[in-house]
Amino acid sequence: MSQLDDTAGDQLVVDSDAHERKSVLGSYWTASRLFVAASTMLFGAGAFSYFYLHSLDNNSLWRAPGQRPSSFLSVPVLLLTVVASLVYVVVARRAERPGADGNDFRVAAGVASVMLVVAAMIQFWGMRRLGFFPGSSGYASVYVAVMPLFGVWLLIGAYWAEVLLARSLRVRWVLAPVGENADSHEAAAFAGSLNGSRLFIGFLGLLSVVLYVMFSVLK
Amino acid sequence: MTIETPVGEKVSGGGTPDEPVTTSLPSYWTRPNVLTGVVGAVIGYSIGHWFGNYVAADNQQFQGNGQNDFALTLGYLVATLGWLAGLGVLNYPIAKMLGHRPDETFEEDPRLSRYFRYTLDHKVVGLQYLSAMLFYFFAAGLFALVIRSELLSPTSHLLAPDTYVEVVGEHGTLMMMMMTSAILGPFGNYLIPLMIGSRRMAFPRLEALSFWLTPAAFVVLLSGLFVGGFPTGWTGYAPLAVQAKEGQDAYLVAFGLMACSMILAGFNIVATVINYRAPGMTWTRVPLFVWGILVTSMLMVLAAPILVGATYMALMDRTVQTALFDVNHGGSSYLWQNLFWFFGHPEVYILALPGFGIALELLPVFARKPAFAYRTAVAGMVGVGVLSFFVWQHHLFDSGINPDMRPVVMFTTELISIPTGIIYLVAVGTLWRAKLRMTVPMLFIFGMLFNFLIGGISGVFLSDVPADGVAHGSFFVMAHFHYTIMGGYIFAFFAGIYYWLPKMMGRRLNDRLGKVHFWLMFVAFNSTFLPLFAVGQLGMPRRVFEYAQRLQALNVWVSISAFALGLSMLVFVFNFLKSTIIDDKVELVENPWQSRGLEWTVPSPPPRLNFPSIPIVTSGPYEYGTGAGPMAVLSVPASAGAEGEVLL
Amino acid sequence: MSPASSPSNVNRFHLTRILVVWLVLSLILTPLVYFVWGPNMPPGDMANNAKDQQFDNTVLSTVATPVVLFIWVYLGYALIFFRRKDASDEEDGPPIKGHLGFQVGWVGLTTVIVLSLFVFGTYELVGPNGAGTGSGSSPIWTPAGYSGVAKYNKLFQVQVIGQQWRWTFRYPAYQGVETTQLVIPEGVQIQFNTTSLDVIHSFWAYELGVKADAVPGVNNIAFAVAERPGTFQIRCAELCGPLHGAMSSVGVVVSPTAFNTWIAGQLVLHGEVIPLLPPYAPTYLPQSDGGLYDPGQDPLGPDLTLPSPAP
Repeated sequence: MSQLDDTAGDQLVVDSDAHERKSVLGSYWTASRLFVAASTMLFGAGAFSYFYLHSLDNNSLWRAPGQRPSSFLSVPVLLLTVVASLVYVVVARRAERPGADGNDFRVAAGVASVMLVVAAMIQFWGMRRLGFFPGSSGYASVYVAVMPLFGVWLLIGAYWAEVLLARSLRVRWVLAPVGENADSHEAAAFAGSLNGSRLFIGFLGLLSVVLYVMFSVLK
Repeated sequence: MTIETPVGEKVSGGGTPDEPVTTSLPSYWTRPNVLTGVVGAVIGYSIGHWFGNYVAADNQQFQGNGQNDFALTLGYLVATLGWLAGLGVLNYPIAKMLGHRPDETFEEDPRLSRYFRYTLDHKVVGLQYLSAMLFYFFAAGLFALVIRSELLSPTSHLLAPDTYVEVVGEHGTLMMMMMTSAILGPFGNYLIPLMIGSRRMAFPRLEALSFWLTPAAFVVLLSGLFVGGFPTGWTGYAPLAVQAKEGQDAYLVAFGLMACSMILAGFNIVATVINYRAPGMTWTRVPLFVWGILVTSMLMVLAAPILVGATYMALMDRTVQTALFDVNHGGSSYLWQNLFWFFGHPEVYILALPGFGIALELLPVFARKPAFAYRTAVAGMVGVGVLSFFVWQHHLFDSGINPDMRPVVMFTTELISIPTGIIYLVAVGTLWRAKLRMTVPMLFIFGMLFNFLIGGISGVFLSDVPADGVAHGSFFVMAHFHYTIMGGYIFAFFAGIYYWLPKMMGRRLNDRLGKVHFWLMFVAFNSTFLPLFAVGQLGMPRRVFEYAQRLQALNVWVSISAFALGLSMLVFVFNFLKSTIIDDKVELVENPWQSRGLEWTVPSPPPRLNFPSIPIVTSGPYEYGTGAGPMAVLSVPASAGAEGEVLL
Repeated sequence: MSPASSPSNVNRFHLTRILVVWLVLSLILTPLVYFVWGPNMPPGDMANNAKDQQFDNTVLSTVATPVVLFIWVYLGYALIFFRRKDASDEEDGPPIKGHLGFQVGWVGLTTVIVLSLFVFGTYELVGPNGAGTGSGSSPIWTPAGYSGVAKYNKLFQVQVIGQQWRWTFRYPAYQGVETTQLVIPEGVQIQFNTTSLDVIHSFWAYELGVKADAVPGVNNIAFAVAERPGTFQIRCAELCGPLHGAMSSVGVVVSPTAFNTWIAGQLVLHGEVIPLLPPYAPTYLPQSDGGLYDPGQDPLGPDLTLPSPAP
């Protein structure tokens, strides 16, 4: 028994493919923005800790003069992340337009993914060679807490790029779908995920700059 | 990749909503299930614990307790990974790395075993959540009864002091941690697609993952009892949290896991509500329950990451000896308080808002009137959500932070009574000249309105800094939040169960037992918590096992009432089991409450894809007395045959 | 439709009845709350802060009474009179979707109440110098005679030290003697300097109306004037470990002369211990001793030598 009236007329025709496609695309758009927002809150907590402990300077132990990680650690991480995110964002944006060459994107995704992984590995490896103990000051504590988390976020970005690369290799038409494929759920999901990944990896690039400024530029 | 067809057309292998293929479904025991999950968890724990010890053993950085904490924490985390792997949650994420497409599309599994494995049907997830949440609630309630037993005497008599503080912490944390999803989990996941006219959730995998993280969090938290428990209560204040024994790691990991569950559930729900609404379901026709869950989910997405950050930082302090919360080395105790409460205050509105949503959803149905001032109601809920981020420092009034912030925070906290009052405005308006049907769900809604009023007014006392000087850290606060959270939210939770169980399980809970449950619970609840306002104002701090002799009579009264409250839960459990399992299935009136809601237009329980075709919404859900037709009509598919792929 | 049952008449009928019941109950109960319950409200009137908190509680309760009564009267009225006639009554109610005047009035009224309570609360916080709540190490609303610089501060100083799991008290003006009982003179403006040695506690002197968190490394200042002699309960109001519940004490308010006698007795009693105590300081952590903290000895300390901390 249904209270829905199913003696419908012409005006009650719904292109369910189009509806589903719009919903899928929109969902990825929404979810990727929410993920960036949630990540901002998480690293915002780290930034808050930095500035709050800095302002309190309890026992004058906020930061020993000149205390900072080695440039051999912080600069490669920054450069790798920024370059990877720039490359990826630019090429992915082009790939979203119709008629784009899929191979451009595949190369960019692969390169970006590898660069992000390398950056994360350098960051993790560098944690053992910091030159200061984690508990030696407020600054050291915030650094040791925040940067490994950032490394994990780099790996998430790398994963996302790699997954899109793998899908575009196995289902070759998914980057530039034509005909019936263009209406498929799969094409919509890929396009949505591509758009979301562009936003997230771009966010990683920005985040790496912010963290570099916080830990290696600010006094 | 199979294409689903809703009505009439058969496709090889996939089956249809009307004729599900059961013979080709693999046996429960040959696919990932709860038991393989447990095996994965055990293996994961061993690996994590061993690895933690291996890394920490000769490392000077993990001196003292740090090694045990590191091994335990890593053990818990890898155990959770193992649990998820064993459940099959990680199969698709790993397969994606090889470019594989999702292979689980439409599948109707009519067997009971579907509730004991990782599944993508939002209705199954909703019922999994319901049983789990009820279980967590009663488990946490048992701890409460232990607390009240100890408080029968003004001196320590049943439990050693450190056991008592562990029990207090377990009760509080189980409730505050698990109950955040008590309404959103079961009812949000089950009903939102049905209420917005969708056939699916946006991200079923995220939804299922958010559920399966909850047993992990539950087990991790309880396991803390075996490694010394945690002495900090649910608020986990540093530096006590850093000083504490290994049980504190259980608290931190469990809370972090639950925060992840909340964030993922939030992503899914917000994406679904924004993008999967049926044609014609404009924002002014979205049910108020959905609005409540939507605002709740936004709070979860934005506030819970702070908790992840805070618990992670506390774990860092405990394992690798960072000094984030140690004032001796450049850290600060206030850092934890600020971070925790920046999450903690939106958290309590995460608890309150779904209760408001249920109340505003049910009132029109049982008053037989439109929801009064729909847009104002939405504005009220959104206002509560937004303001909740600006009030957290009222938990820090006496803590010694910068004193000039206090009037500002007093202002914002008092302000939040205005949107909360709007909820009552809508309730009052909806009840005006109504044709009330006092069913069991409606009884619980009245109880909720009564209780939350007391809770909310006591909140005004707490927002006033001088009055907070008496009440902070005392049983007055306890009474306040039990009135708002238990008296408001949990009463709404039970209203939701009585109201929606006919939809979700095709079974109706016994009315007479329901009324016994309500009256016993309502009287016992007020009898338990009303005196606690007085107890607090008379000088009894929170979380104590010793108190002034003159307060014993009140405490004994409260403890006896608490046991009566527990008894009312037994009545509910008996009713629930009797109506769902023991009794034979009765021929059910399809829409027992004669509700206009879209979820009531499909069979109970609904088929796998909810609606035979995408509905087109033509009127709002609250058009009682206006003569409007049904809420929606079924659409005709654009092309005959392929109704569209509903790939999961 | 007859004039008697037109919608606006029906509205007025119900509204009048509700308002009348509400008004009668409010007029009876609200003065009772203010005049009868008020003077007996917690936390009593032994100290100026306690009196202010009592007044606060009274005013808030008085404002809350008509609000709560309105909702209760309304819900009760709805339960009785807005009900369907019997189980067979399937009729819907009137489709009232909103009423601008009512909505604006309600929101406006709640806003006015809230704003007034805010003004009142701020006044009650500022006037009584923080109303007995811990105001941190640099309080803004301070009594006459207060100064941030110790040597110009004319107020009677007591330091409250919280540790797991007891309270001790030091009197800087009396050689920094540390006692296990809190005794204060009546009629004198007291400055409580609260700190902790380990985890966060909270110093709650109930009858004095003082509540200040004891946070390690922080000096949390609260003010009070005890107005008559007597005893007061001291409780810990912040969970500080297993024996948090046992961390209670009794303080005494005595006349100034009796206080002098008592403190002289304490100086004699603790005479040998006083020189051995750490020098009186607002907070007690290794650093604040001015040199005890040796980074070279701290396995978790920095590799670099930090500049010596400010005294």
